[in-house]
Amino acid sequence: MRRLIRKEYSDKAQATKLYLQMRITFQKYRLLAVLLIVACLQACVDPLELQIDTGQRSLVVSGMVTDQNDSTLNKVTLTWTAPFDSENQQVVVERVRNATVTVQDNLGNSMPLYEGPAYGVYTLRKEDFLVEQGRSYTLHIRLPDGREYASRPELLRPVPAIQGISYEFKQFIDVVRNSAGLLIERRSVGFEVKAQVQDPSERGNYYRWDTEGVFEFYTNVGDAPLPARCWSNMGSINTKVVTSDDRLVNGRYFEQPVVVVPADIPTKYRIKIRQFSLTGEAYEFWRLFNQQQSSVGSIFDPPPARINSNLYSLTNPEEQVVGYFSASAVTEDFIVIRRQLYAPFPGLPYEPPLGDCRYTFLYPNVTNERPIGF
Amino acid sequence: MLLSGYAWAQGTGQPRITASYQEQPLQAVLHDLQQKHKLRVFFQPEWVEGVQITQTFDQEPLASALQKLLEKARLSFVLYDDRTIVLVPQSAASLFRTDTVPSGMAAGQAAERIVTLSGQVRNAKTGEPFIGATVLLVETGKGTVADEQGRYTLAVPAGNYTLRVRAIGMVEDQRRVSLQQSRTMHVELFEVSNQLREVEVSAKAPDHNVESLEMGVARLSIKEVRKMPNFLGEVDVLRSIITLPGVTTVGEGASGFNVRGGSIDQNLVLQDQAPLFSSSHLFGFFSVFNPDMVQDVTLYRGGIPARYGGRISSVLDVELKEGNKKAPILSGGIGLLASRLMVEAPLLKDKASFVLGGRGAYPGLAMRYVPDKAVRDSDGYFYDFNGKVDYTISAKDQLMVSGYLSRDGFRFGADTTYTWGTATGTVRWNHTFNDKLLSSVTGVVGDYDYGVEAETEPYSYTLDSEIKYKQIRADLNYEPSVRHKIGLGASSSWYQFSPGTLTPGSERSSLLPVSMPRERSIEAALYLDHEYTLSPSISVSLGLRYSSYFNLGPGDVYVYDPESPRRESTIIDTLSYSNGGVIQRYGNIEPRASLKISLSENSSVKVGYNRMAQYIHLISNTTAASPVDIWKTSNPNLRPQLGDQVALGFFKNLQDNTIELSAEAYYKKLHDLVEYKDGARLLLNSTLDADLLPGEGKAYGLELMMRRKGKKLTGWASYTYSRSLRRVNGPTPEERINNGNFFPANFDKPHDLSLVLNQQLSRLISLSANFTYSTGRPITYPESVGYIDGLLMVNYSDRNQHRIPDYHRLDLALVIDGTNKRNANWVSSWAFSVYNVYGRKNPYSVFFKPAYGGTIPQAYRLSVIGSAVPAITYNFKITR
Repeated sequence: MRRLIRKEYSDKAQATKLYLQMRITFQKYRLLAVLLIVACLQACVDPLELQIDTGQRSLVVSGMVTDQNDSTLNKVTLTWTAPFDSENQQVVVERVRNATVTVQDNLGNSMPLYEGPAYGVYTLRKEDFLVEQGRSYTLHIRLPDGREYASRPELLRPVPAIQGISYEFKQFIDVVRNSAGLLIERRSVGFEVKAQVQDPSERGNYYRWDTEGVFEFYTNVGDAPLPARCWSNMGSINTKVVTSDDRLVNGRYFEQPVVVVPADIPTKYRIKIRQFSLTGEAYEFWRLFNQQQSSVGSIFDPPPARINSNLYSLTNPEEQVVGYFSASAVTEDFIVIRRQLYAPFPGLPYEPPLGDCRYTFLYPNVTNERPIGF
Repeated sequence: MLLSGYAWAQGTGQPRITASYQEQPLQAVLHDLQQKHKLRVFFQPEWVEGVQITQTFDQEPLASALQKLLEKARLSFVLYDDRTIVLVPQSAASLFRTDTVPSGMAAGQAAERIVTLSGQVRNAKTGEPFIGATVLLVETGKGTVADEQGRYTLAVPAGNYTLRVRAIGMVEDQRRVSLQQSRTMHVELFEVSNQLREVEVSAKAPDHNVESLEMGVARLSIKEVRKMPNFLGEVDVLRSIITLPGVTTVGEGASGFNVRGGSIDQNLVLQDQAPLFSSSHLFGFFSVFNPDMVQDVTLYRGGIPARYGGRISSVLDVELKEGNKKAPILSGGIGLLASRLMVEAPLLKDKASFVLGGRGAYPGLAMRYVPDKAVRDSDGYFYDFNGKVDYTISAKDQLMVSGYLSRDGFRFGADTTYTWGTATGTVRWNHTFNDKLLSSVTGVVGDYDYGVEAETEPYSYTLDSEIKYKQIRADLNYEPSVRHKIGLGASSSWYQFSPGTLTPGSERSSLLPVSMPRERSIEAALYLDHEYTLSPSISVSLGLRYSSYFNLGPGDVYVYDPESPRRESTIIDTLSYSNGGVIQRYGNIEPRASLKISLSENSSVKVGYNRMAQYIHLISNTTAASPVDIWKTSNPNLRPQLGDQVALGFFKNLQDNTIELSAEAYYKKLHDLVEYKDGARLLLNSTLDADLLPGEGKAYGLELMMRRKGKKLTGWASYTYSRSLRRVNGPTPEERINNGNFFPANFDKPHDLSLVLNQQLSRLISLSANFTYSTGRPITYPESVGYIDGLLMVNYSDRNQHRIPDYHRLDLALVIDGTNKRNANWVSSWAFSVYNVYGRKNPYSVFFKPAYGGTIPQAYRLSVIGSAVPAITYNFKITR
């Protein structure tokens, strides 16, 4: 929580807001913990195994179109919900295959999305791309069994450019519950990465940020003529939704903490930040999703609630759809962090793995072709 | 001229009696006296039938001998001449003491005239008036309850009656009165010998529940509360209230209580007329009422009189005691978590007195033994003081000044401190114009402030909120005849809410100051009610209250686009109001009505309706309200809440009013309730209006209660079936909850059973038990999970569609008194109690701790009290 507090004046109002929200929720939790220990002569918080299977699967829609012709961004993923089963913690989601997916704008133009490169992922091909700022986009889905779904129209709003990216090497203190159920502090180090944004003067700008992490690593190949320097693309390294509005920072320059780059290997790390525009409704969706991820679940927290989707069923109005389809303008920037300058990191010393760096199978999406920035 | 036996006794030269009688019939004794002393005694044989005499006289004057002999037969005597004695019933004897009525007058002749008997019931020892004492004319069955000043008025046909006055803990006073003309009679009651062990449990007339117009009203005397099993040895008014039908709580450790499907801010909580915004100490483990100071507790769940208003669910009226006007008394109690001390004494004997009480809690002592360091470093406390001075200026004027001050704090480690406190002051002046017209003027000032303080740099801050209020009210009671009772009054309240000011703790703090604008409002009301007895079996009460509300400037009001859901982005204009300007005005007519029809001597049917309006709201969307939740006044975007209730009740008393049965059914409709968008942000939110949604509610229920009043075994059993449902059905999906369908409120507990029993084992020892069962409260459970953008999202059910497991609990208490001597100077008692005897881990809530890395959140069940909790308390009372 403390990582969110910055001294820069422009950021103070935002930091104050975030800090207080989290701080007070957190304190209420501790307050409860103290009360419990006082009042409870025995352990009062017991894990409860809940298996709730309503027998109903809902369609989960996750996707967007952007003003950039990039098929890794302009895609929609369709899956089915999995039952809530806290005993068996594995989540197996079934993908929705062979659906007919189209995106229409408010001028009547229609763009088909085709399944691929993975099952259940429907992508807007570069040649079909016809997306512009200021238009509204609607998603249509028809499943092989005839069920049809649509989204409410989403206006594609402009987004300012990222002014820059800064980072800070710092220590983090997380409060977690240990196995005995008590709250303890856990310390770790990392690079906090922030996007620098100049908010436009008009009110009502909503943002979401996502990341892509690529890092360099070496292997010990001895004297063998094998590639020893590779790069791994982790994709998005966010563990939580990062979203904000301009309620407290309207028209000002602010810094938004987006992600923490791990301090584990003393090598270069390229962190890319994508900044998306959102509509007010989309912002509500992402904010509530963030709140669900941040809630500590105490009785002084707002009761958890369903997060409403902007999709609905055309065939059965009672059927619930999960997820969101958004239309966003996107700007991006990256920075390379030379982590070796901050080494050694706490923990065991880093030992490079042995063998061809392309086939260590330690990291995903490994290549020995030098990406931009390295 | 006839002389009564009492006057005659003072004479001299009468015969002296020497005799001994063993189990002889009175008739034989009188015959014996006639023979021995040459007397002539006249009486009706049936008067003395069955009366046995065991008496020894040694040179006893005739008068006192006769008095002793006749006492048992409730007879008096009149000496016609030196040797002629006429026996008369005691009631008739008083006729001879009043010169106004000829002796031969028969009761039937006077029956046409209506006369009134009025007076005051007082504590003979302290001079305090007795609120709620029962005054009954036995022959007519006509009774009333002494009002706030202990006054009573009864109107009956002229005649001779037995006046019976009863009050809790007092010796019953029964006397004959001759009512040939209207008269005033003050009654002083003496305490029963054993002060802590009262047998009487009700402040009501024995047949009050059947005969009065009241329904949905529960009175508890503090002595009754004291006998119930308690938690950690603390006698608690609120915990006792919760055992009554129709009253529930979200769970242990939750502040406030819910009445007939209403939320906690819909209860008007009054302590000596001063409204309180927080009714709990230490997060609901203690209530704000010092049990030593409380005189009388009345909860109106329905049938709320027109003199009360401002909240839509219930009124909890707590009246504090007056100081002893005869002698100083010191009393107190020592418990595991808290102790109390109270002193009361006369200032001017029989005219003025004061009482001062204080309590302090020290949970920190217990926390010191907790292994966790964070807990050991924490500290908590509360203290409160009550003071009250009352002064009987004259027979017609009485002045009362009462004050309350409390402070709560809880600190975590060496870092964050939560504090809240209340200060109130009440001044009341009662004036009696005549027997028929009484008035009372009350002024109240109050302040409730609450805040959080963090000290760790560079994040130190204080967050303060405050409510200030002032209230003035005037009430008139007019009883032109026995069949009419008229109440008339007006009140005006001024509120100023400061919903949050954030101040950086020091120069080094990196936080920015934030201040939420103040909100000011005035709430004024006029009321009139009329209670009319149409016939002995039908009475009706009609009331009307008009409340008027003004939200005052200075202030800015956002105007939202009416076409779209309220969000910060849909603000289309900002209106600024100057200091004192009226931002918004609301007015409501609040009718109240009730009707009673007696079906027989001991059963009746009652019907009631009331409408209430509420202009200030507690803003909290958490399961349990925390003491730092903000309050908000109505404004153009936040309409006042309205509540309508109809109720039907059947009341029956059995076995000479020792068993009371009641069944009450109610249906309520609530309008413009404050509901919240899912995930609403309430703290330091300048566009809070946009996160609130107007909701409607309905609640209905059936409350069954059986109450036993007796000597040895007392208590009650109550069962309630009730539902409380909410609906939020706005024009857009964002402004709907659960698709606009009704859903259960957080505190909807359909089945609720309470058993409260007290058995007097011996004169000094009593055992009490309390059992509670209720349906688990509603909760929103996760139903499924899915991935959004690579992150696991939990898909919850519609709001409140599942329930946590049921709640049940048994408590036991044993109270041992140290003495039962009459007028002992030192009275003490030990109370042993066990709360949650069989150690059930009643779930308070089920919550989910989110897990990262794509695993499903873990569900936890939380029980606030997880085992049996024993406690011991020592109470004492010293009288000089």
